Amino acid sequence: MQNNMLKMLGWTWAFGCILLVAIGAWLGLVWAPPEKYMGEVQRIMYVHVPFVQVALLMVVANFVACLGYLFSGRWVFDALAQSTAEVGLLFGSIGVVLGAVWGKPTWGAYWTWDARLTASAVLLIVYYGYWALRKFSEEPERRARWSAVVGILAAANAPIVYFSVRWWRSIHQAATGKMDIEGAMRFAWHYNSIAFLCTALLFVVVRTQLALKQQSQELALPPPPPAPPAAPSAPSANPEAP
Amino acid sequence: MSGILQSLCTLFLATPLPEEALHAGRIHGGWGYIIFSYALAWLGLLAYAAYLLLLRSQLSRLPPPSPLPGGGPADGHPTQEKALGPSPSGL
Repeated sequence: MQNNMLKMLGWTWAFGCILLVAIGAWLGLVWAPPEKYMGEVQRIMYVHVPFVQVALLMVVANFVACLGYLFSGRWVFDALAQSTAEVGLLFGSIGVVLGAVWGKPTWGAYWTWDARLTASAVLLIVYYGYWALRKFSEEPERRARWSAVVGILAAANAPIVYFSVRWWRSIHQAATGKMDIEGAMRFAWHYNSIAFLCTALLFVVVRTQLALKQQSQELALPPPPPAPPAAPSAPSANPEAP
Repeated sequence: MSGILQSLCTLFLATPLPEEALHAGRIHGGWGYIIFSYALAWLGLLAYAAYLLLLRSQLSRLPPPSPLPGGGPADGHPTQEKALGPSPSGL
């Protein structure tokens, strides 16, 4: 009964996310006005910025989960670390590609070795390393401990990504303040951020459940070996013995 | 570019650049980039959702782990012997 309720809740959440993201696409593609200088191309920002925001949030969540595993040793934290890293990689990779696509018509190049872009690329590479470490270590306990350490070290790059536009002269614009953006544009941006965050949270919940299932399979005792064939009856005493 | 021009005009001529001149620097079109971006975002999310569904169906086909007697991994670092407890999904 409770399982059915949870299943229904999950599907409702999933359909809600599809609806939220669809409305977000309409807001970004149609409803929001074009930007004064960038024109229509600025509409890419309504997906690029939320994707990168969600990716950075996932890095923070991964950091907390890694700390949680190291301090408490609970497997649920390891599963959470796995799911947040995976979802963060998904959103981060797409977010960086979207930024590159936006860069071509506005900056004239898909990629420059600007501080923000370089820091983001390094962050992505480190998390691909984290993901590979999880894929290739077989022993669950060692994998959990090592990846927690790597996750904590990798998260140190997140503040560098965030503050890079303030610390170095960068072609990438600084964070947009509340007063820098027109109301309709701000609404479309915030709405899309919430829509993609809801979707990411759904992914994290489902992936964590699946990771826990995988863990329970890995940690379970191996199936009992087949029963040995019946032992032959003990040889009878030699009747000829004295 | 037009931003720089406007700043220079304001600085040296004390007159803002006319609106038409500003619009000359505006990027036109670019719908190909926009459609590609939205499609990539949507397809990426759909692909991950499909991966999760596939993984779920694979895991549901596996036999449930053998019921294990005894307490759980109290220190949370179960070795194979210490894993004789509620499976991690019970946490």
